[in-house]
Amino acid sequence: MSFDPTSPSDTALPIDITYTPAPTQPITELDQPQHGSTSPDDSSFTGTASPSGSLPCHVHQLSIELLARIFARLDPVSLSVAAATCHYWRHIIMDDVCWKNAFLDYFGKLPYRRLRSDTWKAEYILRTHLVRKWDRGRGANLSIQPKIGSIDCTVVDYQESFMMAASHDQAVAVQCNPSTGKLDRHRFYGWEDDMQLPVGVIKMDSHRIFWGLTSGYLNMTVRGKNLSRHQLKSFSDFHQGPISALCLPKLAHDIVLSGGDDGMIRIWHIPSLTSIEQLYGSTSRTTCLEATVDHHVVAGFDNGMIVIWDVRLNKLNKVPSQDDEQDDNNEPEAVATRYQRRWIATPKMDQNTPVQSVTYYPAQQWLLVVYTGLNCVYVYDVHTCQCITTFGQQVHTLGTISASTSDLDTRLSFTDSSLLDCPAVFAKKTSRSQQQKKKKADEASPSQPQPTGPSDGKLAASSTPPRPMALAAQSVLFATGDTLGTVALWSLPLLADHVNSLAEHRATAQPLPPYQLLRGLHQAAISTLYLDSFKLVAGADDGWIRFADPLTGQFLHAIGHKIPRHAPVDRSDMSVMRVKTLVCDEYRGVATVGHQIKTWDFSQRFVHDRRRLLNKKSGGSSGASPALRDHLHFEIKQDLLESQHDLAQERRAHERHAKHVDAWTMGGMSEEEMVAYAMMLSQEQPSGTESFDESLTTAAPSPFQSSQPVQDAMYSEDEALLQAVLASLEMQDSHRPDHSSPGLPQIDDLDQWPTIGSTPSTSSPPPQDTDDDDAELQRILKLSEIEK
Amino acid sequence: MSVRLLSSDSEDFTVAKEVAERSMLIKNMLEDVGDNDNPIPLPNVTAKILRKVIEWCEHHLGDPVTNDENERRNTEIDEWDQKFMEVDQETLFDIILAANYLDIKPLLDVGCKTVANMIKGKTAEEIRKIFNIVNDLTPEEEAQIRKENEWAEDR
Repeated sequence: MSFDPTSPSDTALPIDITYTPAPTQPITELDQPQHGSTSPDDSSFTGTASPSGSLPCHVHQLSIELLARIFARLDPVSLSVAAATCHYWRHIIMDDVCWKNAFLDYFGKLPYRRLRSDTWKAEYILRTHLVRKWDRGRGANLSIQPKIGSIDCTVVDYQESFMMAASHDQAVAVQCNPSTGKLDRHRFYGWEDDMQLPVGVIKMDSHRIFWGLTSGYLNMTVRGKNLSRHQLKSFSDFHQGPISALCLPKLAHDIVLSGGDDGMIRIWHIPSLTSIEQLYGSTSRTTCLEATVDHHVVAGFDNGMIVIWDVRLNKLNKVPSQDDEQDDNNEPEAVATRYQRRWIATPKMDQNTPVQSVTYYPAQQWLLVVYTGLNCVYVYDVHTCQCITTFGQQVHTLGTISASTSDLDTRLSFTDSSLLDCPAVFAKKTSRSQQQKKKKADEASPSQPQPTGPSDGKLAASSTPPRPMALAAQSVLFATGDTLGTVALWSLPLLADHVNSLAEHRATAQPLPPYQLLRGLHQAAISTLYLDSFKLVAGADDGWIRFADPLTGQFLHAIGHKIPRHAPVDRSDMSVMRVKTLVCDEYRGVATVGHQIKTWDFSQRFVHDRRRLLNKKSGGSSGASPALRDHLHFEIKQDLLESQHDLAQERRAHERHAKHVDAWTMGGMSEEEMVAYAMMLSQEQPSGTESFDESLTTAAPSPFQSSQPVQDAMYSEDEALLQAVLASLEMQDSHRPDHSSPGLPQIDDLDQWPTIGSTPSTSSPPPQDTDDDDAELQRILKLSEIEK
Repeated sequence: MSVRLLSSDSEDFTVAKEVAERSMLIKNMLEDVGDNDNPIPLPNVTAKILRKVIEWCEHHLGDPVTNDENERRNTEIDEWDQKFMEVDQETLFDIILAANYLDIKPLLDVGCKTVANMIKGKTAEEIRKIFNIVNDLTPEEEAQIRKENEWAEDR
């Protein structure tokens, strides 16, 4: 059954539509079952389904409406099983309204944003499935310790299995894999030379890191494909004082905005690394900076002021023009007045109320402003700067708002399509890839420029398909968390109605009721919030992260900060305990708690699917041509064998060479060592009691000395030996002083020595000298010959 | 102040007005006809069932009439109601029909919850057995349903 989920009747359809209080037609027969009286086509079903004899089937007395009412109380699995019992029930349950009513009964209200826009069956199954997954919280749960100090900023890309975490204190960012926890060795620094000085603010996207330095300069790191490509660039202009806010506008990718302590806003052109515009904001520190999709630049300041400019960031003159310089020379104020500057003063003149956050709601062109220290959200019109209304004060009665978020930017794309691929339900069954493509398109659509003017809203809505617009208009939630741990959710379309009714009867000003109120979700102040179409995630100052279902307000699961009880941690130190950032997708999430990153993944199924998908992908490419694959395998094997062979040969040659060298150097000795060794050996010889002989034996290294006098000159001992040898030679009256020495040591018998000396390269040592020492000395002899 | 109700099998019941007004049908009728001693005919309800319904209404006389969402989402049935609903299926469905006809929403809810709890967590065959439903699905249809319900298996 086709069912348009966004038709006007969709939201208005109450469960009671199936509930007829009293039959209108007169009933004559008392015992006649009522079925068939209300629907013309169900009699045939009851007819076929009624028992043929033995036992009466009382349940079929009930009308379709009553059965639908019963089915509305069933969970998705039971409902599917009930659909498999008989034709009659199947007929009822095939109707998507039945699923919608079951959804309503289960969750209490219709979703503020649909996860699946096709059928309510899909929505019901998916939402209950997700609730169960997040409620159980089973799955991988990792803690990563990047050791870069307190982490202030993260960016996560699950498709690429990549995330970056950055710390202000040390101006360092590190890359890691959120699903495995693997940290990249390489780090990015905000400074050129690893100075590790604190930076004022860091803003990242998937491939760039912007470092707002405390010196007022702006640096940018571009994350390249490999490490050598990472480069740090500095922009050519600077703020007077630390940079305190950065903004990467969605519309213009080559533009970055910065706000400094000097109250100025600078617009930077990334390719040319120059400041192309500066806007005068206020006299105090910039606390937040937003560039809206319809060309407003909104800055909040420490003194509670909000300044708005209308700047078309994508149409800016990208080169610093002559005018700029002239203006700079004359008076800086002239630059600031080029753009119309509107401002909103602080609501409490007597209090210090820095602007905490500014959220732009494009459908109504509202600014939702949260001030630090106040307990309500102020709503301003972006054009008139008038305060339209405030909300939240009746909920956050004791605490003040410490965190806020909206689900404007978090479109949950559900990638686990296998869960719902039931051919009968989805008549036009699309393949997985097509569905993903569609999803990508859906993801892309919200980032499209929103209507530019107040009157354009309807025009744009009519030009684009009505469904996404209608959904977008219906489904924006705003969440506020206060210092006492209470979180309230506000429906912005409801707020719009509220404002309209306020305009009509200003006297009967009822405060806007929250869409959902989660009182005491945390025991500590809420530090960060994440909201998407299915869940609310709240992190608190005590390091706990809690999940809740915004639809029912049901608390789902909590992830704690597992610091051992007696760990030497200062629990009052917020930089250690506080949950600072939260990013989630359908099953997974990444949070930074103090110095560590926590990631979780509740999807076994998702992991399986992904693996299967990857396998399929790789199998598909190689499976296309098995012959080619075999050929490649063969070639690779051949190459492998060849290289192995080469390697073996090389090794053998090397070994041979090494042996050779060993033989000559006696196992890698240096010349000096060899000399020393030879001396030692000769000294050990038992013979030669006479001093003369001894002097001869010790004179063995003389040829070396004669050949390399420079090297050995430093040894005075050697010199003395040389003298001794010379003396001995003189005494001997040797006719061959050059070759005299080699023979000397091993000769006991003086008669033999000249013969040896005459044949210095002898391979046959004298027959008497058969011990090892002699062989070694022979080698030395040989060596000395080579040296010459 | 009491109201006379006449069941389909012509049995006369006299109940307190507050009890009778748990039924929106009777309440509206009373408003329409005003004070009148004539019995209100209830041609869809037998004496047996009407007695049960009156018993229920008398017990739940003090209940606040709430249309709260949380009330409806509550799948638990209180103990008395559970006992009250421990009847044979014919009576159970008659009570549901009567509650529907008489427009007693809380009673209808209790009835629906009771039946829903009978269905929950069962297999199709078990459900057929409980309600004496004849399986009129062809094997092809069953195969198709099984395919549709594959997602539910590994939960």
